[in-house]
Amino acid sequence: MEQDEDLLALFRARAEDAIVLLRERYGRLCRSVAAHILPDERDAEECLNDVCLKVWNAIPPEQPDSMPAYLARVTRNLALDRYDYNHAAKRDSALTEAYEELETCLPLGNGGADATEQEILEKELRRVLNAFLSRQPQEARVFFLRRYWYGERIAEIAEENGVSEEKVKTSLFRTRKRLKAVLEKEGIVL
Amino acid sequence: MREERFHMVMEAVEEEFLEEAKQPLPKRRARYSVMAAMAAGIGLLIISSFLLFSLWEKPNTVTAEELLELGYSIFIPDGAQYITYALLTHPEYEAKMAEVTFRISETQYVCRIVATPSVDIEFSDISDTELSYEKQFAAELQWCPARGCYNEGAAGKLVWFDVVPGLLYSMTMDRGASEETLLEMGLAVFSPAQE
Repeated sequence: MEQDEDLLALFRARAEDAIVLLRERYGRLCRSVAAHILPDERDAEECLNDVCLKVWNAIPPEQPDSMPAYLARVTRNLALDRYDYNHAAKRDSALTEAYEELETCLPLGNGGADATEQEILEKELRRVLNAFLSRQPQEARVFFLRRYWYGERIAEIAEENGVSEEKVKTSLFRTRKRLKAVLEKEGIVL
Repeated sequence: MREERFHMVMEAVEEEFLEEAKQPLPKRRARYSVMAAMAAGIGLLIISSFLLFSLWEKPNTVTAEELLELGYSIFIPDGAQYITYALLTHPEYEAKMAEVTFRISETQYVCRIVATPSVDIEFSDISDTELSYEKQFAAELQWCPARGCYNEGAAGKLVWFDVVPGLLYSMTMDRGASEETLLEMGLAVFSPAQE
């Protein structure tokens, strides 16, 4: 992304200011993503440190097209790793609720896929899911991803978008229903 | 296992959508504020058209359960108020037609369903609104062919046809219409007979 060319240039030059700028520009986003998975603030803060290190090691050679989306994904994966590590002690995050909501719309397979079958399934899932998302009204798509990808609470989504919680719940319900219909129609079982 | 399935789905999401999700949504009210007066006027026109020019006979008030017994079902979105259910008759259709009305915030919605033996892809518009609209579009509502027309931010309608059970649908709104809002509400109220 053009606006992050300065940031990427600092990473490529191995300048430590890259981390300062990264924290300044995207610290809030990364903290927000981590906080929805890791309820403990200290965990979220440590996760942000992990993100900085991971990005420092990854760029170069990596060249993200969208820095915020790239950072959101890295943060989410690192937060989930940390969440798994803490699993036995803490299981109560906004994302746990999200698992349970979405569970009912994911067609269940027998789980016996080998590596090749799994790769094909993931590729097909990517195609079907992103085509599905692109067909959704923007508002429904944003609510869906904020809830299930970013793990935000319904009240939070409603407040940030200036709508009622009921509207968000209804939108999520409809989107889940449509997703289920599409996955079943396309024969995607997970 | 549940979490693995969940993460597999989320990992498949493309980055453009992740970035979009963190951007503020466009403010609809500001966008439509210029059209507000027009919306109110057109809303009145729609109501007048129902009262003065409708070919359908005066509706008989019924319950949702009675409509369901006839094979008609509409999802009522959360937050809907002033919900009414009615059955109408029309010389062109053998079957009776269901009409469900409700209001969400300031917007009045009218949904209709009627069974038809026709399988013509150029399906009829059962909404009974004869306004001229600035914009038109064709779309798919789930698996159903759909047509919509609207005046931006004002009144609009969506009609669709579920060919297998042979059901014609229409949904009108008296304000705030756009392709997006019409399709969104169409999806919200559509309760497929197959389910």
